[in-house]
Formats: sequence, C-alpha cells, structure tokens
Amino acid sequence: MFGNPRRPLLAAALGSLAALGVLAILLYRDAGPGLHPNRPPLLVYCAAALKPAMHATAAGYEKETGTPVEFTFGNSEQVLAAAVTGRGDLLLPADDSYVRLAEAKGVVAEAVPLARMRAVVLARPGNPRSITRFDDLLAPDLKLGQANPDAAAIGKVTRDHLRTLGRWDALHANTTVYHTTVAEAANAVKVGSNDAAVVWDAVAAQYPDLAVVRLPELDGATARVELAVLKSAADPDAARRFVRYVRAADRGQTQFRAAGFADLEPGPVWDSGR
Amino acid sequence: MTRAADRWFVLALAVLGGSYVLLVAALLAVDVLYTSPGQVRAVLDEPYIRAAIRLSVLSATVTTILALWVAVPLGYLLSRTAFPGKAVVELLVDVPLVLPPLVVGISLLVLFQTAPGRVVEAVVPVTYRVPAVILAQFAVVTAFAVRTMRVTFDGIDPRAERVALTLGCSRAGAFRRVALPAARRGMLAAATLAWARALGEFGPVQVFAGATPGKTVVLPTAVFLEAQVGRLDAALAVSLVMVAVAGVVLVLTRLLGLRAGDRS
Repeated sequence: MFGNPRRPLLAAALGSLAALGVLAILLYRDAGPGLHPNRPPLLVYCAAALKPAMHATAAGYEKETGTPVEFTFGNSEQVLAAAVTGRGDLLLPADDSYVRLAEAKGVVAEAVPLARMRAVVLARPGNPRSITRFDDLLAPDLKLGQANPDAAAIGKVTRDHLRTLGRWDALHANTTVYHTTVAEAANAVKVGSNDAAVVWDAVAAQYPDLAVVRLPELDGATARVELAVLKSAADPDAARRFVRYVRAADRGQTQFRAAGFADLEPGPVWDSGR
Repeated sequence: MTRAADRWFVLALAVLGGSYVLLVAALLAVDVLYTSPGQVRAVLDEPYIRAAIRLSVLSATVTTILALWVAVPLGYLLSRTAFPGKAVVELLVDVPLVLPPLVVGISLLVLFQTAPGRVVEAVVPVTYRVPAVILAQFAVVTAFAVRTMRVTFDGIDPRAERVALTLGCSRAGAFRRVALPAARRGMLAAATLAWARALGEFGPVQVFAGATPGKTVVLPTAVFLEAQVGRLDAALAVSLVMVAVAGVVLVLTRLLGLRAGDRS
C-alpha cells in the first residue's frame, strides 16, 4: 500500500546534506581572499554616492602600492552603523555630520576633509521648465523632489540654510515628494517622474544628460566630505597612507574632480616614499 | 445561452487575471527597453557582478535547503499536533512575513552585538560576512516555506496516516512513508518559493551583510549600488540578469520536480 518510499526520501535527505557541505565549501573559498588574493586589504565603509570617485582612486592605489582596498557601500547611516561595530579601517560618509556622530561614539582616530559639496537644482534634459530663479521652483504645477531632511544630509542642509533665508516654508509647501536618498531624488528626474530635484553638485555630475541649475539661494547649502581613520584599523599607518593618496592633488583629487567634485580641499602631491 | 454565459465567465476571469500578467510583462518590457544587450554584456564583464551572481545562486540554494529542513517538520507539527503555546508559535513564525525587511536586518545586527551574539561571532564570524547573507535570507524565507508546508500538510487527508498507524507503523514511519511522499509537490513549491525569495532578498542582507563587492554583494545589492550612482540602465541590466538566472533555475527545478513526481 505504501510502496517503498524510504530510499528516495533518505537519498533526498542525505543528498541535501551533501549539497549543503559542497555549497559551504564553495562559499568558504569565496569568502577567503575575495577579489584580492594577494595581500590583506584595507576596508573602507563608503557612502554609495561616492563610489565612482573612490573606486577609481582605490584602483590606482592598488596598482601603485600593491595594497588592495575593499569597500562596504551603503547610505551614510548604514556605513556609520558598520563603522561602530569595531571592525574596518576607514569611514567615508556622504557628509561630515556622520563623522561627528562617529567621533561622538569614540570610533574615529582622525578625520581629514576631502571636498565640499553644494546644493543645486537638477532638471530634465534641456531644462524644459526654464528653471533659472528660486521662484521658478515654486510654480504650482512643477513636480519637485527633495531628499527627506530627516534621512539625508542634502535635505537637512537645504532646510537649515533656507530657513535662515526665510524661503524654506514656500519650498516645502511646493515639494511634491520627499525621497529617502539623494540618489532616488536624482533618479526620479532622470526617469521623468519629477521635473526637478535639489541634489548635491557632485551627485548632479553623475547625470550628464540632465540640466544643472545653480541658484544663489542654495549657494550657502554646503557640506564637507571627510575621510576618517577608524580606531579599529588593523594597520593605522597603512590606513593613513591611503588617506594621503586620496588627498593627493595628483592622485585621489584627480578622480574626485572627474567624478564631479568641483570644490576640493587643497592637497599635496603624492609622495610614495612617505 | 449557457454557453454564452460560460464564455463571459471565462472572459471575466481572463481579464481579471490577465491584468496582473500584463503588468508583469510590461515591467519586464520597460526593463528590456531601458537597457541594451551591450549594457548587459558590460555588467557581466564586471568582476563584482560575476561574484554577485555566484554568491546569489549559492547562498539562495543553501538558504533553501536549510529552510526546508526547518519548514517540513515545523509545518507538519503545526498541521497535525496540538500543544501548549501553539498559537504563539504560529504568530512568531508569521512575524517575518509582516516585519519590514529592513527591521529584520537591523534586528539581526543588534542580535549579534549582544553577549550571546558576540560569543557566536568569536567562533564563526557572521556580521558583514557570507554567513550573514545566508542568515538574513533564512530569517525571512523560512516563514514562507513553513506556511507553504503547513498548508500542504493541512491539505493531505490524515486518515491515510491513521490507517498506517493501525497497520503497525510508528508515528515516524507514518510521517516518512505516508505524509512526506504525499507532500512532495508541496515541498517543491516551498523550495521554489524559498529560493526565489532568497535570490531577491535585499533589505536585511544589505543591513546585516553589508555591500562589500566580491564578498557580500548579492544581485539585489548590485542593483542598489548601480542605482545609487545614477546608472539606471546598468541597474536594470543587472535586474535582467537576475530574472534570467531565476528563470533558468526555476524552470529546471520545475522540470526535475515534475519528472520525479511522474516516477513516484
């Protein structure tokens, strides 16, 4: 009546355990050296918005020094959360307020400024809504996106600055949607869901097909990008050496400029002997 | 008259059901139109994307096997037995279904910062490593697998197991010889659902395992990373790769499952 299902089921059970073993070995091998089999890498907790500049910089650093650099990307809150777990060498959030939070938690050994970002308006290709003045952002039928001031640095900086000018309430009232990250705000303009968004100039540079409008009212809405060496760095000297490379006028700064950062902190030329 | 009414009935079903099918087809169509074959080739050339494909497939498979090892016994227990606190267990099993995925990730992160979590970390490093990818997927997809197995066992008439008991089978024997073979299709459904969910799991994986290219970046994380730097075409190309990988595996699973079902 019941046939003989014992063997197939036993085979399936044993087979699944064997498969688990094989998969575990494959994953263990993958987890070992990763993409860098030769030397222990520096681990950087890096805001995803800074990926293009840092990826290119890290590639150059590995080529010149042989030291690989690995990244854990996320938004600024996530990289901050990762940095306070007591592992990792460097922290690079999208703006310095997160470095201050990390300092308050006692995980930062030192921090150096890299660049400054400024709020600009990102508009559809060719700026079809003819946004040239701040009041153009207050047009009733304009679909305007912003990053949430409570979740993203650009939103907070824009709100705080415009409040000092007495212009925030009007912009807030005409904002169609708040996004959780500045990238989402920019992407909404790219796909046409919104007509315009307030974003960092360095983020806007990643959308070469869209129009960028600088407004005097937003010129004071700025943030600094800082690279912090963590107390948990396995080799603090190696971490500091990478920081010098990122700051070097003829190395990291070249990549940051190419990625759209116009306002860079003055840095010395790279000296590989130091 | 009756035939005309039947046609209208079938047409109404087709319109209601077809609207969803059309929506999914439209989503895939715009993904294809927004990117290009060259873009798909370009993302496949990136080492971190290839590593993400490998990690996604391997981790989803491990997670599925682990989920089945838990879901089959738990689904059977919940279906066939009554015990004190059963309602609480049912509620707990359903919690991952209603929790926002991000909360699951944050909770796992906090759990492994507690004293017991640190003990585990000292033996097997979990947070921001490959085990974190699997644990984050497991925490969510097992709930779906348990629910599927529970419904499967609920749908199997328990009288056959009772007959087996009267014929001298032990409880374990009845489970092994009657319930499990009858639940084979349900197990396949649970495995398929668990694998597909694990492949697409993003929130808890990103929070608990991080996004380290070549180590913990899975395909959904790669989509996020590309979108964060405005490369929407690359993000959609990665999405299409994910759809293709999932499609191949799910079709193969279905074919193999049906063949095994036909033999039994």
